[in-house]
Amino acid sequence: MQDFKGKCAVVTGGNSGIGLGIARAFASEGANLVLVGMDETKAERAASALSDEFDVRAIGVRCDVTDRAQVEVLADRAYSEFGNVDILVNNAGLGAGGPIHEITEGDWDWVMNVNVKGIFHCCAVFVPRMLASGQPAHISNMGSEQSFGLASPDFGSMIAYTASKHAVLGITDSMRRDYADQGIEVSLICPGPVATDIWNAERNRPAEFGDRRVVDPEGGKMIAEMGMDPNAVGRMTVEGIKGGDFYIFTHSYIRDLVKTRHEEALEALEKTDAWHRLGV
Amino acid sequence: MQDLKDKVAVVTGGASGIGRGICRALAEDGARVVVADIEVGRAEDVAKELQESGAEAIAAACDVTDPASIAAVVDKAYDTFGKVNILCNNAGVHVSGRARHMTEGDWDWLMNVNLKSIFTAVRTFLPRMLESGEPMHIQNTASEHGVGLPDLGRAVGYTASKHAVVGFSEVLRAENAKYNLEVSVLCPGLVRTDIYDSARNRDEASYGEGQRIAKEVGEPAMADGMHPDTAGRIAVDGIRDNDPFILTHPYIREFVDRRYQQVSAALDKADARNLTVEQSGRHYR
Repeated sequence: MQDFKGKCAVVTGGNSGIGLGIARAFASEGANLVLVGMDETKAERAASALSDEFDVRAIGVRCDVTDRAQVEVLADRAYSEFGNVDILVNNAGLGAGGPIHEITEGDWDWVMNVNVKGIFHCCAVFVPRMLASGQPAHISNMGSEQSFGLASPDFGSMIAYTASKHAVLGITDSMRRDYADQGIEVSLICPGPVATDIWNAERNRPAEFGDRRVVDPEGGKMIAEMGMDPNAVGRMTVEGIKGGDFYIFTHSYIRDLVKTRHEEALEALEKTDAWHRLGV
Repeated sequence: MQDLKDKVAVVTGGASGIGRGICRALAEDGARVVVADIEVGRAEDVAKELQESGAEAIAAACDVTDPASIAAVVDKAYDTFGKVNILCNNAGVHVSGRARHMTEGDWDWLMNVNLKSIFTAVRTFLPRMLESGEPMHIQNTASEHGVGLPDLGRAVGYTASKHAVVGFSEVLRAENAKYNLEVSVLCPGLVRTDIYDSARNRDEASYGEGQRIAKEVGEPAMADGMHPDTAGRIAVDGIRDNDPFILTHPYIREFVDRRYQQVSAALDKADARNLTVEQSGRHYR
């Protein structure tokens, strides 16, 4: 997809962080926007700011992507406002850090529900409508450097987050093949650290996933200081989509993670080959 | 863990398929085996067979999606054998198809059995394993679907769950290296099991088309697969050698390499967008 003028982009988690950066980049290309967030006022404010700045139409919608019924309502709203949805960015995501023995079952479920099942819900709801429209469409899912390996130890353990982002890689690679001949392009955004308030996602934790944790604002300070500007990620995403890229990387050092994983697999395969030479 | 003699191993999904192969290989190497499975009758058959071959073995009823059921297996293992050295999180199910072939119930079932069960089992077993000071190994069964996109079988949910198992295992290993916990992730290719028919153990009836596709595509393909005892032997040799990744089939290299090449090309492109290492390093804004 090359030309975004007059197209409609739905961005989950679009009222802050990377989602807002991506929305801004689409707006700068003339796309209309549906900004989706857990906080309706914030989503509406962000929508009206982008609408004023770039002279596009934008609405903010409250939607919890872990709830299929709410995603259906979101899709109804988007299609009734804009007639069609051309781009879906499954960006909403969060982390609840900690090693396995310290995180709760609520932490695990919350991370998996938002980061993984949220994508399943949004695709299950939007894809049939995209296919029915007969229009070209693009779906971009939010992976991470942690789709390929472990984050820097500076960030501490994030076992649920890492597992969830590996799952997103699996989903997105499958989707690329599943829709290759059906007019839906698919991409996976794999950022390293970005200056967002993901560290403070606890503000949105629903009660069903347990009590909100107290977060150390030091983690937020670190990410604010060292993280990439979310608008840069937005720009790279839009350029990547224009270029027909599947993997969209923001940080070159991610190559180290990718190489490490590949070397581990190759080492294992040497052994596999040896097994099969024995004629098993 | 080179020497398995008198070590105690718990294998979930141990009553059939790769799990049974793992149980047999463990017993062959002198380990004492807890065959944990939702199919209790089949688990008892496997335990009996192992006993007849001269090994120590018991069966344990286990629904891996139920934390209380896993806790009961822990108790049974410790009550019977006094320790657990090896935990093989092998239980797994399959639903084929694209997202639109799957109901929310399909999705939850896959994720609960293939992924969350491992989270629960590790949390339940690990504290006692650590406390014992005994040698420890946790092996998680992922799949060729955990390291790339195999040519056969569209299975978006399954692929997602198995990628997550690989990621989970990597973090588990890194987190617990200081406690000498060994962790491996088993990635089998096509093995002659009846995973295509895993819905036999599913209560909920509201499942989508993916279950039918699993059987239609899976049954003939898997008939040509590796013998599960071979896969079990490879898995257990991996435990003995403390290999982080265990891949059963040489052809897996094709899509491991394919992904690596695609990812590398994307990274080249990122570099070409004038993102030098300095700019995009940890201090770039």
